[in-house]
This record gives sequence, C-alpha cells and structure tokens, in this order.
Amino acid sequence: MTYYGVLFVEKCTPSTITQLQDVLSTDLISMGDKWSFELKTFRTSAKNTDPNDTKVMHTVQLSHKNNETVTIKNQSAIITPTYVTKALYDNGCVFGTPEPFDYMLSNKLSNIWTQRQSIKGEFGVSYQTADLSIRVNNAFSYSGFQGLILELESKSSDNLEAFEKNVERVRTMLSGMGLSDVRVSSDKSQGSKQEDSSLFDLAAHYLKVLG
Amino acid sequence: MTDTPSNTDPLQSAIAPDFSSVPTQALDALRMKFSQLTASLSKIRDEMSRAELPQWYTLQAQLTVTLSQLSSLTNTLDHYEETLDATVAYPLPSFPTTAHEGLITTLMRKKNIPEVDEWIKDAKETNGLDVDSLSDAEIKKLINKDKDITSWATKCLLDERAKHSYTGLYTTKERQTESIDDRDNLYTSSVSNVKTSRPFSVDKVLKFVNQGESY
Amino acid sequence: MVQQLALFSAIEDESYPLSVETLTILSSNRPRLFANFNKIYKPNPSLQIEKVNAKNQLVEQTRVKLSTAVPLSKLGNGAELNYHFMEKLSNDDIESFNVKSYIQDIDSNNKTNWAFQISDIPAAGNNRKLSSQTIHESVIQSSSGSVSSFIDELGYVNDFQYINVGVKFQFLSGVVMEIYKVWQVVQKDQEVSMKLITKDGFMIKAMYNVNKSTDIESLNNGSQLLLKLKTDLRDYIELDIPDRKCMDTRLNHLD
Repeated sequence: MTYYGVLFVEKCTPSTITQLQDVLSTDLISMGDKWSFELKTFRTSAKNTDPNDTKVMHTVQLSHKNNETVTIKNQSAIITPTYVTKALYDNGCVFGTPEPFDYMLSNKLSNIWTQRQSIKGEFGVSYQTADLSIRVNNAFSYSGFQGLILELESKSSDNLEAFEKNVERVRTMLSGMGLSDVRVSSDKSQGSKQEDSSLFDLAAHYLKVLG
Repeated sequence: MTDTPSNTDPLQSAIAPDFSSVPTQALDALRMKFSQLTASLSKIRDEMSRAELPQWYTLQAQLTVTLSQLSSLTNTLDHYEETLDATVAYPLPSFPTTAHEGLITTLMRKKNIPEVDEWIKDAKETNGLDVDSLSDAEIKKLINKDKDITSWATKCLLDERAKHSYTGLYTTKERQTESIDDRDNLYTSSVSNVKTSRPFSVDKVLKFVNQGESY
Repeated sequence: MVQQLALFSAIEDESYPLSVETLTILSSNRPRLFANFNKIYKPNPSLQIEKVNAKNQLVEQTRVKLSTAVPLSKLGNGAELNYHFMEKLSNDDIESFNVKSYIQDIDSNNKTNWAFQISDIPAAGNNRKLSSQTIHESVIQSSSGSVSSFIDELGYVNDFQYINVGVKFQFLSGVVMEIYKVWQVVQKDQEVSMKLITKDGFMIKAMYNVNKSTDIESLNNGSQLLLKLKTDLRDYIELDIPDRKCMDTRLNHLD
C-alpha cells in the first residue's frame, strides 16, 4: 500500500530547490523524470447558493499520474482521464478524445464557474531515496513565485507508521535548512486503497496545503 | 564484288565502296522485328523484377504480343532465307583493324556463346529428334504434323468453349431442355422499387433527446 | 472536442432486416449491437445564474448529458444477442432488461464510467448540406462520493433520461451509421418505467467525427463521404439535414 504526503514551503526563494537537492544528495539513490502539476481554483458566480457552501471548485492535474484531472468540490470529486474507455466508445457515448474537466468549466460552464487562481509547477525534479520518492517543484501563480512543493510517496512495502516517520524526517531536514513555515498534508489512515481513491486523496493533500 | 582498289594502299582507298548488293530490304525488315522483340522482352523482364508484380492479365497481354512478334520474326527470317543464306559480311579495307581489333572479332564471330549453345542443345533434346540425321522431307513432315496437332488443340478449345454459357442465369442444358426465353437469360441490373417510410418525425425525436419535450 | 457531421432519417420496423443487409454490404462490416443510458441535467433553477461570464461574454445556460454503456449481458439477461434482438423491441418495455436494477447498480457504483457531454447547436447556413455540430466531451472515470452529488455541486439537477438501443455500422472510410430505437426512462418515487419514443420504426443516423474542428481536410473528406452515402442510399433511405433548432440543448427562456 502506497502512502502520499504533500508539503508546501512558503517563505523561501526559487533557488531553495537547489539547496534542497544538495541536502538530499547524500541520501540520493537515483533521479526520476521531470514532472509538473497544476491546481486551478474556480468560484461560482451564481447567486443565492447555500450560505454554508464553500462556492469553490478545484481541479488538480498531475503529470506523473497520467495527466488525469481530479475535480473537487466539498466532499465530491471526479477523475477525468485523457483517454476513452472502449465500452464508452463502442456504445456511442463518446465520439473522440476527451478533454480534462477544467476545459469544461472554462469553456462551457463559464456562466456558473469563473477561474480565480492557478498555481502550477513545471519542470519539477523527482528523487529516489532509500525511504521515499520525493518530487519537488517551484510553485508559481499569476502573481509570481509562491513557494516550494514537495510530494512524498512511500515505498509500497512500508506501513503507515514508517511513512509518518519518513515525513517527519523530511520536516526535520527542511527545518535544518531554516525552513520552518511548512504546511503538511499526508495520509492518515491505514487500509487497502484502490488506485483511484489514492489519487483522490493525493489531490486533496495538494488542495489542503495550497488552498 | 566490284570494289577492288586501283592503288595498293588499303588505307587510302579513293574508290567509294559499292553497297548495291547489300540486302538492305531483308536486313532492315529483320532489324525492325528484332528491335520490337527485344523491346517486348525487356519490358517483361522489367515488370517481373518489380517489387509488386503486375496483374496477370497485363502479363498475359504482353506475352501474347511477344509471341506474335517472335512469330513475325521467324516468318521474316523464313521469307528471306535464301537471300540471307547467300549473304556474307566482311569488313571494308578502310576499317581500322589495329585500333578496333576486339570490335571486329565480335562482329565477325559466327560461333554462338556457350549459353546459346546450351539452349539450342536443350531444345533439341526436349524435342527428342535427331535433326541432323533426318532428311528435309522428313523434317517437313514433322513440321506439318506439329501444325496439325496445334489446329486440333485449337478446335478442342473452341468446341469446349461453345458448350458453356458465360452470361445469364441458366446453364446451356437448362436453356435447351426447359424453354427459357433468351431474354430472361440475361442478367441486367435493375432499379429496385423497394422504399422505406418514416413512421415518426425525425425532428420530433431529436427534439426529445436534446430538450426532453415530453412526447 | 469533436466536430460531428451528420445526416438523419427513419425507417419503419418492416424495413429493418433489408436495411441491415444493405448497410452490411455498403460498410463491409457486420452490424454491432450497442446500448447506452443517458441522463440529461439542466442548471439548477433555484440558482440565479449570470447571463454573461467574467469576460462579459454572453453564455447561455446549457444542458449537460451524462451517458454510460448498457452491457449487452444486462440487456439480454445473459443471452447471446445479435442484430435480430432489435426485431423484438416494439414495446415500451424491453422484456429481458431489468432497467430498475441496472439503474440502481450504476448509481451505487462509483467506478461507473460516464461520458460528460455538452453540445453546441449545429452550425447555421442557408446552403447547408449536412448538420455540423461541435460536441465537447470529458470522461468521468470514477468519483469519490456519487456522481450525482458531484453534478449537484456543479450546479446541475436532473432533467430527463433516455435509453438508445440499436446496431452500429463502422464503414472503412470512417463514417459510422446507427439504426436505433429510443426509450424515455421515467423514475417516479421508487418506480422506473420506460416509454418507446421511436414508435413502429427506427432512427437512422449517419455521422463522421473529426477530432479537431480546425482539420479542414478531414471535414471536407467527411462531407464528401456522407454526401456520397446519401446518394448511394437515395430512393431507399433518404438521409436529410434535421432542423438545427431541434438539436439545440440550451435552456429556452420559456422553460
């Protein structure tokens, strides 16, 4: 069972990522592929919504998860992939290549949903240490550099306790670099998770630290 | 031959050679037939060496043309047999023999190349006849017999062909035994009168699936 | 996003077998049975939705379609089905199909794949030879929580539902033809009922889908293919351009 956690370091600079690489280099086993993410925030322009409603919908797209897009509002979420399943195509439900859901929000549902924010990290680096897979990226929005993102992925053989310890180790390491303003969201529950539900949780972590 | 030079220096022959007895008509006719045949054979060879072979009917047409050209060539050779038998080619004194010795020996050679000798030998062996030991009369008899067999084969083919019907919907036997009108026999494509009809309005159904108008 | 070129027609029940034979020969492919279940949603009427977006562009309220496949095993209750199955479907109910249990299954399964579609009204024009419509599509692979609660959060509510069952012919050229029947599905209280919309006959749709609306070459090619098909079927099945207003999924101001 693979566990995930996301850390967001504010109050640092775009070059912090290089310092991080130096610190990690001692534990480094190998480097992985470049990766990117984008978190978009949409706000409803409809009036008289439920006063308790957050009125906000988010989409999260991760390049290392097949570029599937997770769309979240409150407790509901969907995953929209970039490919079509055969059954849908054969039965005339879909005719061509599908779009990610944020396309729908921006292009066809713009009378209800307005994009307010986009935080994205391109050209991120991934590292493999003895304990974890660590993906780091500089996060930017329209107003500029926002902070440093770290995505942690446990080894599939680890249990929750081991993962939590590893997350702590990363926090300590960041602390050692003088970075204490760190927001963390990581898996808290044990139990077998299916592919998709772990993607939902991962997207929720991004949302928690960047929202 | 009347081109004996008056002076003894062969390199300075002032007398123009007399070409009047050169059998130009025969040679020209042959040259033309040979060039046609060579062209056809080259074409077939090129077609066969292509990555994608041509359709069988294309090849068959080319083969037929080639065979008829071969036949025409052999007829021409036969027609001019006497003339050609009495013709001897030789170089004029003005030919630069020292400079082009190889060329002159190639042109004058009468012996076949080994390959051709093999073909001729093969043909004779396949034939089963010892041509050299037969008299002219016997050879003529064999050729006539060959012609007879060919005519017989052609006749067989035509007879067999006549027994079959290649168009229409009935066999010849059926046509003869059951009195079927010859006009019925031909299959002609006809315009069908089957039509479909619309039991409902397409627009109404589309309106339902797009807007949910209750039907 | 797909640009869909289309022509429509209809035939009566009796013509079904010959039409299938005809299209089998024309397409060089056997008919394939297909079935889909469609849920149409409309913007929540209790929400006050703007007429313009943030960029001050006019955006009309539009319906959204969610569709999913009906497995043939469910449709035929386990029996092996072929195109003759359609010949038995002339009533409101499909005997071998337990629609209520099917709907309960897909609603409770968060891993049901749904196609999410929003269609634009087909292009206008006086000299139109075909219907040309832009269809925006996304695929919902799975949901956390139910898809209906997500659609609710999106600001949409149930409008109506229907099922298509028919046969599909895939032409080698890329043209697709469908001969199908449509049933409305009504859920009231706990009961689910079906009503046959295409009475006594079948809808016919001939379409050509192009993935990029800027791919002029494919669009032209598709147009030619469909028009040739129209000529080929002339006097037997008349393929026509439908009224584009009937293919408009926008909410009318009168609704």
